[in-house]
Amino acid sequence: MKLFTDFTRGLFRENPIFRLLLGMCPTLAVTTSLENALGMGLASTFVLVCSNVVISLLRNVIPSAVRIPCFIVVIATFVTVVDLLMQAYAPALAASLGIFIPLIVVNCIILGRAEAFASKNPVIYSIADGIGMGIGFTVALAIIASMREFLGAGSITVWGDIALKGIHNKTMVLFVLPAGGFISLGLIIGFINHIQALAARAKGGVAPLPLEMDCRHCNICKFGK
Amino acid sequence: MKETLRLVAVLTIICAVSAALLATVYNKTMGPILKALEIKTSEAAQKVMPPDASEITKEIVGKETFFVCRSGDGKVAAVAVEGLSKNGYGGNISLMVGLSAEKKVISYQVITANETPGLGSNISSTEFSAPFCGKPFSSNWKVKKDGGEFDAITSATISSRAALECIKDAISKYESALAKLNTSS
Repeated sequence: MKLFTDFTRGLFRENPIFRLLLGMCPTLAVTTSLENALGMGLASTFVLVCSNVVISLLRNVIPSAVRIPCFIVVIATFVTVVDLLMQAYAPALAASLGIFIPLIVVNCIILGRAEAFASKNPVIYSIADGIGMGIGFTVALAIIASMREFLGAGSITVWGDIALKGIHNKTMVLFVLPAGGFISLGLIIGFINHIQALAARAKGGVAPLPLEMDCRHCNICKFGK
Repeated sequence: MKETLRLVAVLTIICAVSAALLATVYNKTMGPILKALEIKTSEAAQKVMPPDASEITKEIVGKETFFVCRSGDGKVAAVAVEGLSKNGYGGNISLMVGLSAEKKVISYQVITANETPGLGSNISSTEFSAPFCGKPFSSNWKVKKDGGEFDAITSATISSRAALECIKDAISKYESALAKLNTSS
């Protein structure tokens, strides 16, 4: 049972992007196309699961005074492995993700899960946590990227095939530019918070949002009042 | 003191194991990585050659690699060479440019580019590249804004300029190596 809750935690309740707001740098940078988002998500998931396993195995060996350097070395190793494998067997993907693969090292989700979960739990739970968080991260990236690519480039293209064709030739280029990343992310998080608040209100309660993401203290639309 | 030694030992062991793993993976993937790069450039070279080009040979003149297609008498018929520009919007751009012995640009393929998706990335689109095909070397390789004769991509003038620089670069590489290419046959 604990195994299952550890797995689902990352999917929605503590989704790295929409709930924890961790790993914003790769999120905003690679979500210009769905293909990049999926590649980045899967690469991060692989690194996350591997680093969780190793750190969980070593959790009683690593002295707490040097745990952060140890974690970083482990994570950096796996990232470099992924980078080399991608360049060798998926050169097109490696070319489009470019600089962001090495940057997985400093993705706070991976270090965050190592510190908050893997260093305190047995291997099997750490794997479940890694897979759950990884899928949550990938799905969240895919959602943002679909929105940005569809609005900004006009159609969604995945591995050479047009998955979703726009109805109009005119596109909102803003959405594939950096500013569009912030706008999309904000709109999607706002939408999710809104739905949650509505659902909680229907039940007669108040949605338990983290304080810094809670919009009920704001007086613009007086939504929660 | 004992505790300090333990810290040092643990860190050293972790680093050593990581280094060993990385060395293994690096050795295993080095071959495929170089192969993938070579396939990419030679495929691109194939695409920018005239369709009837049969035998393409790889020749190195100075530091540049030329993909050369020769006619029956051994003279150069067409050449594909990589043109570089450092002035892309997202860093370096390199194009594989096909050039014919009639001093005309055949076409090009993007090898590396990190341009903005939806804007600068359109340098690979046929709308942008079509006007270049069949143009003589002596054309004014600049965008219209700079007094040249080519249309830039809307809101991607920097990328367009860089792409034109790549073509110019490829032409100058070809012209400076042409004599050697013709004698080496």
